[in-house]
Amino acid sequence: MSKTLVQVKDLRKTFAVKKGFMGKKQDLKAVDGVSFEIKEGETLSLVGESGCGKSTTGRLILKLLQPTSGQILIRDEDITEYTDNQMRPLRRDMQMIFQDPYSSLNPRIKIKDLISEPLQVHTDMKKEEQYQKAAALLEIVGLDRDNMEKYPHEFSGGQRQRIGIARAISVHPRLLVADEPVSALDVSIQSQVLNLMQDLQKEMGLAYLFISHDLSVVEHISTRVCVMYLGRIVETATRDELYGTPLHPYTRALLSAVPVADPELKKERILLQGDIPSPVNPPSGCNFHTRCPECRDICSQVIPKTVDVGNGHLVSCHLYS
Amino acid sequence: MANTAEKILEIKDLKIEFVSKDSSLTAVNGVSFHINKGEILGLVGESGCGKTVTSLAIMRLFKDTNGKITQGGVYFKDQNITTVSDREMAVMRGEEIAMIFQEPLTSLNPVMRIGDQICEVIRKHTQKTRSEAMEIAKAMLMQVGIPRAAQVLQDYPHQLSGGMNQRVMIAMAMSLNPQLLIADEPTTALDVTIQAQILDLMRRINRDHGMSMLLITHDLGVVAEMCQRVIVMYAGRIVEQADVVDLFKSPKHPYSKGLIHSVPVIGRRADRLESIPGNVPMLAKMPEGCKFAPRCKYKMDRCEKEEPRLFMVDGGRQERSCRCWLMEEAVI
Repeated sequence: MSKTLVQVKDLRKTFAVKKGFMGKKQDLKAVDGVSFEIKEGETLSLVGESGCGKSTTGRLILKLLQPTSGQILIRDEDITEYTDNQMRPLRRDMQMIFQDPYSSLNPRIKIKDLISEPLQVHTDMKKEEQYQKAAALLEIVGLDRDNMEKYPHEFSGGQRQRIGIARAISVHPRLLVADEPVSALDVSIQSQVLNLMQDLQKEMGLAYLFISHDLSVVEHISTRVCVMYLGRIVETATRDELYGTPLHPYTRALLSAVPVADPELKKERILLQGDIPSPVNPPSGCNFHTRCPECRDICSQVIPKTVDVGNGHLVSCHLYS
Repeated sequence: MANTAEKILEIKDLKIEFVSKDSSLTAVNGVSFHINKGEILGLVGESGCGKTVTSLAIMRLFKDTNGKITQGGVYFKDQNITTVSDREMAVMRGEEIAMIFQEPLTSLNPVMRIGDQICEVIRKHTQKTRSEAMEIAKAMLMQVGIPRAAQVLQDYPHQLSGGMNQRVMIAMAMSLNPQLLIADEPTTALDVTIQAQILDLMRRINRDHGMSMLLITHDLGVVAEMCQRVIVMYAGRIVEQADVVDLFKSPKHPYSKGLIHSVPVIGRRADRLESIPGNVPMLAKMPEGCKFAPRCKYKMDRCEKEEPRLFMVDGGRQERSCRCWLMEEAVI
């Protein structure tokens, strides 16, 4: 068994939102009691639709946001209350890549400086060494050394994402939080970046927290998967279990809704009624009960407990408790 | 069978250029295809391949840009609509051909109630009174599966979700009962479960009203589920045209092959995804010869010099064609 890198316990994040200009403040529970762990070298995916809290969870783990309650442990070290100064040395181990490669790179900084910036912060390398390392990193992510003097606008989306990855891996992190890293890319470029991420994982033993709404991509890249709905994790399982025997009605509906690139495959589709409710005013009990095809009386009253149905397959649904 | 079907729209040798003071860029070149009555035709390709520009050309929505159709024509029921007057075209838009877009929220007027927006369309094209139009609007909203239709008529777009707004767009597009619907990435901005609802709705409209559709998308899954025939575009050209089953089962063009094999498919595990090396060429720096040659693993010497034409595949059965020199021998 590989070691646990990150452990998250009952994590919550509440934002205060105002309804209208003069309206009174309301609580938006973006993340509502989330627990999971990431092991060294694995890919854990957080998958769900917009507003489910997957990106917020990613940001909480890196302490880019301060959690409202709960605990985050990195290699058994509780970082929940760490200040920015205390976090700095830890950030070497935890890097992030973002969805939009166009807005996550400073347009006025040359590629060589973009990539060597983390080295400047986290190591005492000389400028020259930094640049050498940056050039080597460019080659690792599949770009030419000649690109060192260029600016971000001279690159396409896929190339920029590669630059973002080069920058993130420059300090040899243990964990990379990847928030929708391929969603903004064209299909043919998407697979290039996914392959690169898998190669790097093999070579460097990186762990990924892979945040995505794309269930096909998640199946391809994950070791384990957490399915989120309105701030809560409804199901956690290994990839094979989750895609082979999905238990939660939401997971099943989600999987059945994905259009499959095979015109001869005829599949049963579970069409969910209605929209995703607003997280400002989530439904009572199990917050999926308003759209659930298997809703019973208890579902609107009691929040279901998370149960282990075997092999670490966790599900939060009254059907299984 | 496909040959006897009635063509609702035919595009012949279309060339679209964007002209500026000192240069001109060709966005679409030599594109010809047709849509049969009652079918859903898919137009796939990656960003910059010219799929959206083609759809804008059909609707003649170039007015505020410097885009121009410099060659070829668009025939709607045998009438060349590139040459009709602006006034006639304005009538056709909505009554004959309607369009929905990727971002419903930016296509709707944010300061106008939903009901008024749909009424505006209906009253512009018919002699209906406001209250008659409102009744039609309400019926339309109910038809596209909006609950509480009466209340939604009074709402503003920002009060509705993305999926709801897209339903409103579809209701508006359908309100004049057009014969062709052009849908440009209609579900790309929506969540998976909402996308499934909208696709289901579109399929129902196609079946119940016999409405023909041109579905523009980059999502091969959507194509596989919705379309009967597919056109694959790359760098402003059609590279392959095929029946949907044939395309996914045995793609002929190296680009279509690469595209189909580079997307992960649920339930079909692969250790590694195939990928197409390199990037889509920029309009200003188009390679000579075959536009895909720089990224193609089957590249031959002649590919860099001569651009292949569309060759018939399988003796032209199923109207299958492919723009690749490898297919030259297949010509019968």
